[in-house]
Amino acid sequence: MTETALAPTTVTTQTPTIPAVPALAAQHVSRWYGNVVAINDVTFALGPGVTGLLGPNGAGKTTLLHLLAGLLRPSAGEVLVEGETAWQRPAMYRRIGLVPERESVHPYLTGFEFVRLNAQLQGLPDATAAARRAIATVELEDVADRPVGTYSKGMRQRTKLAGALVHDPSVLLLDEPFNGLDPRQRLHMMSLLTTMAEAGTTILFSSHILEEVERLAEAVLVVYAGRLAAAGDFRSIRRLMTDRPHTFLVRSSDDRRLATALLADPTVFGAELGLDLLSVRTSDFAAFTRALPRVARDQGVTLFEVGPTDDSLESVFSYLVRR
Amino acid sequence: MTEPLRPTTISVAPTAATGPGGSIYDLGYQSYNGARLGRRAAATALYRYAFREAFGVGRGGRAKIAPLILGGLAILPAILAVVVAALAAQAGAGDALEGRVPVRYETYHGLTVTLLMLFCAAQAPELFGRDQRYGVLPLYFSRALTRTDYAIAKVAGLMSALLVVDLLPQLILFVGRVLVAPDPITGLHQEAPAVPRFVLQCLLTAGLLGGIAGLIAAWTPRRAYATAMIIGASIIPPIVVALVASLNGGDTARIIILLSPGDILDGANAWLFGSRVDNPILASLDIPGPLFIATALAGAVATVALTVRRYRRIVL
Amino acid sequence: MPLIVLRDLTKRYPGGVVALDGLTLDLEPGIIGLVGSNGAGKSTLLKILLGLLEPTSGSVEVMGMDVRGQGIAIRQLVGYMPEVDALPPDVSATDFVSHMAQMSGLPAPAARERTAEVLRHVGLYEERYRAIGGYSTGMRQRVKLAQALVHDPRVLLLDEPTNGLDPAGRDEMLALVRRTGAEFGITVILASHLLGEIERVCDFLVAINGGRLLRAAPLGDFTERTGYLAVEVEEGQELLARALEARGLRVVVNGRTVVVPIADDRPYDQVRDAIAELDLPLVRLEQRRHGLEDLFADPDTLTAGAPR
Repeated sequence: MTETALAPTTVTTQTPTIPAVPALAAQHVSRWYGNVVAINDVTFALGPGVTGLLGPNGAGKTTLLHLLAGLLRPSAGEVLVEGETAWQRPAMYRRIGLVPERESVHPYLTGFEFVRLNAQLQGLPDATAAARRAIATVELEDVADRPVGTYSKGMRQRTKLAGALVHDPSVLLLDEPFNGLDPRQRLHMMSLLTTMAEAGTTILFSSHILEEVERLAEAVLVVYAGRLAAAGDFRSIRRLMTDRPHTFLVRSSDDRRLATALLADPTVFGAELGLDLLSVRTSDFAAFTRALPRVARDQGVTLFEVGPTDDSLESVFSYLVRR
Repeated sequence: MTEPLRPTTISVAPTAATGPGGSIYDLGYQSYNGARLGRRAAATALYRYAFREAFGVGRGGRAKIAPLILGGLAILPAILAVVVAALAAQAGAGDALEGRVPVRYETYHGLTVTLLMLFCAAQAPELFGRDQRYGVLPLYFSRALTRTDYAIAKVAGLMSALLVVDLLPQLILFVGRVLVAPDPITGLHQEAPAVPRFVLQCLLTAGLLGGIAGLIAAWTPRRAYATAMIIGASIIPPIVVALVASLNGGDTARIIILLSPGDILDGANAWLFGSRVDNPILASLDIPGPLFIATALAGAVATVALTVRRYRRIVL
Repeated sequence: MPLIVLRDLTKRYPGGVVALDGLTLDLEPGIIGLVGSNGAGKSTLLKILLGLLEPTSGSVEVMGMDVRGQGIAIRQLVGYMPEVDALPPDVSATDFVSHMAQMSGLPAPAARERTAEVLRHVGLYEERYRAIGGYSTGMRQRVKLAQALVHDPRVLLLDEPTNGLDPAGRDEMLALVRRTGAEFGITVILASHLLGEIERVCDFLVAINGGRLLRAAPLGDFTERTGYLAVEVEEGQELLARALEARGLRVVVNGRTVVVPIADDRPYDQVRDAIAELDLPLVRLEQRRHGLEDLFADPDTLTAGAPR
């Protein structure tokens, strides 16, 4: 259960959206506490858009977010926000917003008061107006004057979010923002983050719920035991694991005929007939996905359903943090 | 993921472990078809558990320190008294010693009552606070017992533990004195009249102190607060009584003293053994003895009822 | 006779909050998912089934027994895993679970044997003799599940059992829940916010909203095919769209996916041929299904969660 070997693949970030000066970058960042290494030589760069931060419990996700937010000093390396170092530079704090996992809102304050307090701490010239804007962004106007203690979990999460974005940061970091939210609140939080990302904010959020990350994030960072195990689009990450054959499940008008024809193709090294289902193994993802429709057409077989079995973030993640 | 240990075949007839042939046994999930004893058994088991919990059994070494020290201190005088009496009897000085030893049935309550209060302060928060602090109550209340059963089993466990700590030294004293006597029959004759008195006194003590401590601890999940409040409930009333008596004279003090558990038990003890009360204020108030006993009983019943009420109203 | 029968069940809290509002429902044995917004009354319903809370009005029968008056008989045959942490730190898993078995009315020797069995089933081995205080979140969740299973209940009520678990921990817990229902033959009622979780484990879904029944049906009914074919190609989505339009199909491009409405089987071959001609890499081809979240989507948030 605790085999420490990472998957043999190393992945370089190649997200086309990253401009010359990335919005958020870590350069050989390490953080240790005595002999405990929480974050170990992490390097990456992020541009505008939504990125998911994944890792098992205790992998160092929260430490990494706190380093990125400038709350912790890197033991080595540097965190750069828009090309400038973040640690102990108050001006940098204006560009970063952090939504922590823990309940950090005083229950007796109203939502509005909490957000305005954050605006004042940021030294905004018109804190009240900024707080109003942030409250409107998270759509909490109706309850903004009630004490936070009376809020639902979803409202509290949105209040924290409003507090973190009251100063219009270009980088927004969120630690488990979906925790405890019900399905409707989740959808709402997702649409909020998507909207902000489209407006040019760089968003990094940690989550254990991979289905959600898969739907929301364009790219992922996977940390494991303090190391960056992979970064980028998870499908690309999967393609890079060339030592792992891909299995496709196919439903067609004539599975046996299709299987025979596919086995003649050099990209295919295994095919198995199931009940109303054909499972095909290939080592060459790119060549196979081109060959399959061609072979089917040539054989006159109709394809009803095609799909890889381990293309989900779930399986990519489990390959990366192989235990 | 642990794969289920599913058998491929299950042998029905027992197979010899030696010789040819073999068998594979079903290690998969087995359903339980045995007895389900229900509410009474569950409540009894909880009572036994609470009794052991009061002595820190089943919870690591540190949990046992306070009950062992307090229990040991409560028994020590009785053992010393028996040893001294035995030595004196051997030296032929038994009669000379009799009456001068401060450790006697009627004085024993005064020796142990503080220890018992400390025992309550140390252990009642464990019995009543832990399940609330760590959110275990929903697991109990979703089982084969009622909230009332839970409350009564816990209080009864605490009271029984107190009874053991209180009664055991008296019994040691009793057995010791019987054995030290010139012949056991005479000894038995001499000592027997004290037995119902100290048994009743110990029952009252365990009931009243356990009831009060249980009630306080049930209302105060935080350990430190509960301990402080239980100690406060033992220390403060006598001070209030003394103040009221000096300011206001007898009548108000007479009523107030019936709210002071320590004084109630002292009064009951004095009446049961027909001895003099040490506390001058208590002595001066001149309250009839049976009233102390009735008050102690009423106090025990009332505190248990309030504890039950507390658990019936906890919102989970 | 259904396992659980709710008739016009209403629960009003002092202060006026209505958690359940006239809920009528029959539940058959199986693995049942329970979803609803926060405050929709999920936890209230579980507590009423256990007899921990009195209904304000209406009737509830579990295994033919009335929760009013037969609570103890019901609770002997029901297991409950609450959402919150509910374990004392200074007791070992073995001692705690076996004590809980006795609290369910099992004799002490049976309680010990069942404890050993059930701890093995949830995957706790050497660590079972150590104090619970030193356990990881995943191990604590296993102990919570073990105490709910130790008396071999007929019905198991689980409130957010994967709370705080990481992906691997969730996987293991969900597999355990699935096995409990499918192999051990215990009816499971799983309350969760995570629709993906329910989709993986359950075969029946009950959705409540504002204390009222939104829908109760086999899971398949929520994920019916939609009549749209989704075609995912690694590249050349626009090329494919144009080729399909040229063949007379209506087409929508949605990120990596090209969506084609299908009335009959003809578009399948048209799509295959278009892809083969353009020599595009075909990653996925399947009929769109309804998602569980359609139940909860407001019209204005639907777009945000639109599958790619």
